Amino acid sequence: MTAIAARRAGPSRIGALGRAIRRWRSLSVGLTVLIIFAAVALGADLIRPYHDAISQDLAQSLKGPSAAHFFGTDEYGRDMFARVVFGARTTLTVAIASVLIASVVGIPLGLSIGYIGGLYEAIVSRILDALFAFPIVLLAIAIVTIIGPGIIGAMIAIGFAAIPTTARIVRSSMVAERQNEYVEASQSLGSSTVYIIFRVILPNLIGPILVLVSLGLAYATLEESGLSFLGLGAQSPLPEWGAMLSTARLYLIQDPWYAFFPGAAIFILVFSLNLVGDGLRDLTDPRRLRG
Amino acid sequence: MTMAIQPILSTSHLSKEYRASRVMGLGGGAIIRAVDDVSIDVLPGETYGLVGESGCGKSTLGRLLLHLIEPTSGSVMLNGADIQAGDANARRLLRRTMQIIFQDPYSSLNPAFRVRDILWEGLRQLPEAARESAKARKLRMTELVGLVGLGPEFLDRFPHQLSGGQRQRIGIARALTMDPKIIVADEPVSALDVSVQSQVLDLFIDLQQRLGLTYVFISHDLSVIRYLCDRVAVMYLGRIVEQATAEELFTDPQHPYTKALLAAVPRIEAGAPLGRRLVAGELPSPSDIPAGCRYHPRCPFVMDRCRVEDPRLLPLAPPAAPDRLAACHLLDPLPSEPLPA
Amino acid sequence: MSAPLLEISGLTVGYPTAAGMFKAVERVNLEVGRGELLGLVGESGSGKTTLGLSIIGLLPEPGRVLEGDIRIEGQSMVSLSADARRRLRGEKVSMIFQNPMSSLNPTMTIGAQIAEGIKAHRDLSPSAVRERSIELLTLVGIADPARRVKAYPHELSGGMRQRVMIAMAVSLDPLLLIADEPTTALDVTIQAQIIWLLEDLRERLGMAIVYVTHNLAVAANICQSIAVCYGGQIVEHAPKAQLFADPAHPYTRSLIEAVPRDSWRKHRIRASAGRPPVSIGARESCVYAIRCPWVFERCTVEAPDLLPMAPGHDVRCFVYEDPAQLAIRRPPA
Repeated sequence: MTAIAARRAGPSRIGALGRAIRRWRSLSVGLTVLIIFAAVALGADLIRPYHDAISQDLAQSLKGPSAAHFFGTDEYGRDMFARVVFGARTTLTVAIASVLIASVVGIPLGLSIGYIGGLYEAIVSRILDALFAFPIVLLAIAIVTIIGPGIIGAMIAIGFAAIPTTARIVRSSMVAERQNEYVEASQSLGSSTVYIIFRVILPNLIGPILVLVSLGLAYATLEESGLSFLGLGAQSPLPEWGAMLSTARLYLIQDPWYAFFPGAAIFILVFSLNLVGDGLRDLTDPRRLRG
Repeated sequence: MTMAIQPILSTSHLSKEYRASRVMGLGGGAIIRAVDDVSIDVLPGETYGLVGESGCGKSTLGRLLLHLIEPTSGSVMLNGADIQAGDANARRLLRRTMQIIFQDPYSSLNPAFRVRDILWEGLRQLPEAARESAKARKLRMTELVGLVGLGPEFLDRFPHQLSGGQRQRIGIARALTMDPKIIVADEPVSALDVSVQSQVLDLFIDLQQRLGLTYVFISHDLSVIRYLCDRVAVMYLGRIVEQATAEELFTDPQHPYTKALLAAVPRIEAGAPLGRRLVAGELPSPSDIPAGCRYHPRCPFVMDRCRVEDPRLLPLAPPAAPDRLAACHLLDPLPSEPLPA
Repeated sequence: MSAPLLEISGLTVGYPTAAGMFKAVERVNLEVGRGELLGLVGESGSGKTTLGLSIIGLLPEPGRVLEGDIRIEGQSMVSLSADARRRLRGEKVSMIFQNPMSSLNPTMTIGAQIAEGIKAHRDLSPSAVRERSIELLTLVGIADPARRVKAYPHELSGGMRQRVMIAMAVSLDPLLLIADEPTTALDVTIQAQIIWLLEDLRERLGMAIVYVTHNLAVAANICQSIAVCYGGQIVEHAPKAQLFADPAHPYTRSLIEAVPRDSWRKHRIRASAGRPPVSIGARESCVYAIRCPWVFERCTVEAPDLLPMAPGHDVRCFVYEDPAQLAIRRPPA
């Protein structure tokens, strides 16, 4: 972050960062919301005991918001507030883990095919195309049949499905960046290929990669909610927003609040991730770097 | 200029073809012959100019000299030894002996690196510098930026904090990190303002005198070439069409293309109407090189022979200097038609 | 004598920045007569392009004309509505740019692009528009125009694209053509061809040309008079012959010295360093004071005006307002 800010605005890195944040409002709003969500996920136990999220009280089922239950209750009378709070933990864990899988595999792959090109690129790209053509739901079903349903399967399915996109986007950034003469200068100084890719070029791709990661998190959140909605992700009683929505759909007439809170949580998280992604894109846009 | 001096760098029938690829490295497109059968000798301590318009292959030739790209055929000799033969050690020696300076002062410096990191990238390759103390290293870097006329405070700057001229100076300092003997300079002043251009050109002269460098200086700008070079090769569509000392080339050009180039240069002194007949036609695409002499579609002196027979680069008839070469049927020692005035 | 074709008086153009108003063009006075070929010469950052863009009313946001006026045939351009200005564009003034590739739409044939401008201003039948397009391509020296109207920009070389841009610019017989570095991206032989084409067109169509360039030698070749820009101001304006025979402003002198020329051969070039200072806020010194070899006290506390030193020869320098200083700085030969 600081490297990018400093690239824009000169000697004072901290001051530049401050100015950048003031200037890019969407980035700061998005980041603030994200930090709140992360804090809720980490500190869920301080807000409500986990017990609240899974203990049933059928007498209290499908109640709207009240002083006792801020977000109402579900069909088993579980406290929806606790479930949404603990759901943040599940959702963020799966999103982060799947983006991690996609990044660890996809980024080096994209960097190398973009830099090396030729036959290596042709072969790897065809393999990625095959993976890309594979529907994510099918992949998830395959994984579920092997390791059983659960968030681990969802992480792997989402992570693998995102590898081709990640690699392709990183590749195109690399292809553009390696046109610069400084890359040729490194070659003529005799630097090794690994050094050139990771030490020389990669620092200049941090901007696009950050954008990719933040949008990838948004995408993974939606995917994961979708898989849980289909019953392929988080299993009851583990609180998860998509799974909650899936059940709430049956009670939409009796208790619309049931669907509202998990739905709003997904919406706000995805929206703020997109804000961050857009903000980072503006911040690291090469057209703004020069001149 | 006597034949006794061994060239420090030479090429022999060097060619580079590109195939315009259609689908991600698969399938063939048109063949582009960027450099076509080029043989040159660069003498130690001289400034050898390569001049030509876009697409003439001068930059490709520069990169072939440094072995940054593989030639399709032919060879490059450094001190008489083929640069393609040899092991990793030989390659390291090549890098230490020959360095390159680029045209674009913006894209040629890594925007994420400070000046010290840019210089370190070269210094880390040197066994004697890699193990030095931080203090000795700093001294070495200060010396390098001092050599190009900048103070030590520049070491901590990022490229975006420098002007175009300062960036180009850093590019030169980077090329000097390994104490090379030969520098290939690819349009090093083309992107700079006139007043900055002349300062950087003077720096080139200054460094040559102090460090005994040999330059291969690539430019499309004839006045820059004239200012700096001892000998000049004029390139057109991948070939050398004329070679002469700068003095001879500019006072007495022989090849019709050289004449056209000189006639086209706007000059403050002249103001005289330029030979419009000389400067006609468009540059053909390098993927579709005309048959016979490649200049014939634009040449006002075209003969039947030019349309079918590719002229060879030959020494001019005496009394021209022995290393004065041209590729033109008009200048053939036995011309089939009298030379037009 | 009626009003001159183009009359710029006291023009100041600014861009608001976080640090204050950046004046890209400052207190510029300039006149261009009918059929005149004026060179606007300066290094990057001298304001020459901004000046060209403000004449045609295409200042990029957030640029503003802060003071002064631009009149074409006596009519003020600054006070016109955007719509009225758009109607004049092409009819009275038009412009060609440095990079012909980015100025042409890659998805349209060049015939369609030339026709677009004609149709926006003239009520002609499709066949008449087509005929006019072919006529224009012939005018700018494109061989086989009937076939070329159907070509796409990528099928043309850089020189031909610039010819197409010129055809579009002169399609409505403008009185004034602003040419902003039209040959900078081109090879030297192609540059010569384009320069000759512009000279021919000026003679045949009787239009005036303001030729914006960083290359003094190019300007020397074709222009009748030259205005030298530095730091957003015109520092000297004179007929070409006079400018080169007797350059008055110290910046002009250093610029002429810095142009590589035949007589040079590995001897030192004396040149002034660096870019013009960025001007923000009010000006309290001469723009050139920091780099000027002639600088004296007055230059650092006051800004000079562009004043005549000989008929048709204007210069912005205090040395010429003070015979004593002139005698010291520039002793008569």
